Amino acid sequence: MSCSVHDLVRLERLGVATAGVGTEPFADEALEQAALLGMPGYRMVWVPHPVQLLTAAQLDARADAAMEAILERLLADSSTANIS
Amino acid sequence: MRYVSPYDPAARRPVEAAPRPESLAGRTVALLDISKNRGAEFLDRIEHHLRERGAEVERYAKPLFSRPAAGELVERIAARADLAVESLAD
Amino acid sequence: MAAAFTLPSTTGGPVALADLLAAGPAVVMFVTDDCPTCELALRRLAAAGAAVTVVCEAPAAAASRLAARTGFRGRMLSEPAPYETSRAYGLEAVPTTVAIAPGGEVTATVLGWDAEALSGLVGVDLGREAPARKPGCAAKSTYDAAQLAADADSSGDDPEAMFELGWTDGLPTVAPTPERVAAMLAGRDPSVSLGPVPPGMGEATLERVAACAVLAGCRPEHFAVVEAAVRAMLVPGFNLHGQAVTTQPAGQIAVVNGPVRAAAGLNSRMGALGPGTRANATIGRAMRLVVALTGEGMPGRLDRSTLGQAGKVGTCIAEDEERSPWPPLHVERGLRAGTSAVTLLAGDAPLSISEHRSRSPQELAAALGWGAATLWSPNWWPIGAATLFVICPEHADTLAAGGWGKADVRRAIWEAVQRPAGELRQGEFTDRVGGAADSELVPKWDSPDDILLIVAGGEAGRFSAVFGPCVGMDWSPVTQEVRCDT
Repeated sequence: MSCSVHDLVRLERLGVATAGVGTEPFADEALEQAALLGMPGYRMVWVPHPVQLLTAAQLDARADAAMEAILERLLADSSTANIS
Repeated sequence: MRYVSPYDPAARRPVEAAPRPESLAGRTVALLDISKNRGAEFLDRIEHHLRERGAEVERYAKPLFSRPAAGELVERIAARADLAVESLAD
Repeated sequence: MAAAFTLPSTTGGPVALADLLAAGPAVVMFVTDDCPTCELALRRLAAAGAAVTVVCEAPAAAASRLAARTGFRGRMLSEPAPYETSRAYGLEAVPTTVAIAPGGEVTATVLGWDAEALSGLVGVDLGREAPARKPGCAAKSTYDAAQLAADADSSGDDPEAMFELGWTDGLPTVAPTPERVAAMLAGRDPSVSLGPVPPGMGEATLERVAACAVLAGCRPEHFAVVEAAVRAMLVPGFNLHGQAVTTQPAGQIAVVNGPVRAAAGLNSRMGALGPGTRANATIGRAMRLVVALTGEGMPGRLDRSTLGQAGKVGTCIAEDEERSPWPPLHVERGLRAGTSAVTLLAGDAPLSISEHRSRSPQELAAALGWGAATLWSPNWWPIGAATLFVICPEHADTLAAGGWGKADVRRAIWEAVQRPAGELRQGEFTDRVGGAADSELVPKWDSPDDILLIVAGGEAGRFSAVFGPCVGMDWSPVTQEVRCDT
């Protein structure tokens, strides 16, 4: 799981705005790894765990629900900094 | 007392977040699948939403979820995309 | 006449010889802070409660630490470079103990540790435990000017400083002073980079690699191997990044072949897997420090290994090519016999396989294979990863007696370790097992090519070993030539 954080930080360093999507149990781990890699404020998008046994419709719903947060991570926010 | 440090100070510098665009219109978004179960389907739905908002989408996949993406893959994405979504870390 | 001196005490103000003699005859022991015999002497003095004034050829802080770790509670004076007082006393070695009469005459001198003589001098029985006598080390006052300059620089040279900096794997490390790093580099360009080291991507300049080699306790003759090992680790196909952040226990294992083994003092014989040989221990350690420090792959931080294992301090082994009946590993992998090389593998701690009865190569190969069978998992077959066996000489002789080459041994191990899919289909099992008929035999290794063999170990004893594999990490062994031209 922490491998994603490595990829995401490297991409940010190369100028790519990123949004990482993971399942909730790994939130703390991801935050810690991001801090160690130099991005203490990096926030991922979290979807409820597990996803293995969802129906197609349920999985789509998860993706739909995550879109708002994904867009928030990817786009400039006029009022506050996007990533602290 | 002077010592030669084994650390690279450049590696320890804080990483500044990449700049964020105002909108997705005309932007290329890379979708990186970490290749765990159901990940591709999840990204299919994300792709649908991104295209609806005017983005170009390119799909990538890691050969093995447990491996950080090869440097070459990261560089390829950085060369071709402004934005990236990586999922589904489980 | 004993030369007068006034030296700072570690516990307070300056102390003059005259102050000591005012109270009667004095016994003064000269020591340094990095001499095992001096430590022995101080411990024995402390245990006996003997009244001695110690003059330590080191700054006050170092002298203080010496007193603390030996339990010495008497008067400890600090004598910094250039050690005029030691020179005045004609000191050549430490410990040197002089008895001085109140009038200032030197009445006795004892060199080194000598329990009987020193007991006589201090008037206290210093005990009978061995050793009764032990020579010490050169006094710092005998150092030449260049050495003194280096020593003055190392006035803060202390393992605690390295612990405070975090430049350690939990064990004491040697401070990478500019002089030590320069000696390690031996003329190589320090700014040459071998590339970024995962997971933190710090650049492995030769200077930083040399710093890690110094920290590890390497000598300059080890560095060519360390450099080759780091080059090998950084080849993308080795997937160091994955290994460095995984929850798996695997570390990086270096197998050394060719003439550099002798030049570096590597051990391929009795005790080859350690401990006891500086080259094996420190070269393995240097590689791992590059990952843990330069690469920021420190356990508990970017290194997420659930349990870790002792081999992650460092694992480096030399193949006993002379004793082996077969071609060495680097020749199997395409290099010439006369070339020196390091082959890097990912792997867990080694497991011993005891086999004292087999007289046929077939029996023995099966035993070795089954000794390794539950490594990683009893059910996750095939493991899809390379596994390194270290075959001891007695076992190698048995295997080779039937005319078997390494390929025969590999094939026999591979063929022997197979189980019906039905038996493997429990707990966590592979897709192959999941889809196979109950009676279909599934091997532990995908092919004999995944089984690597080297010969090492002492002449007597029928214990071979196998390193736990690193599975699912998409890594390949990498062989790198060692540049021996410096």
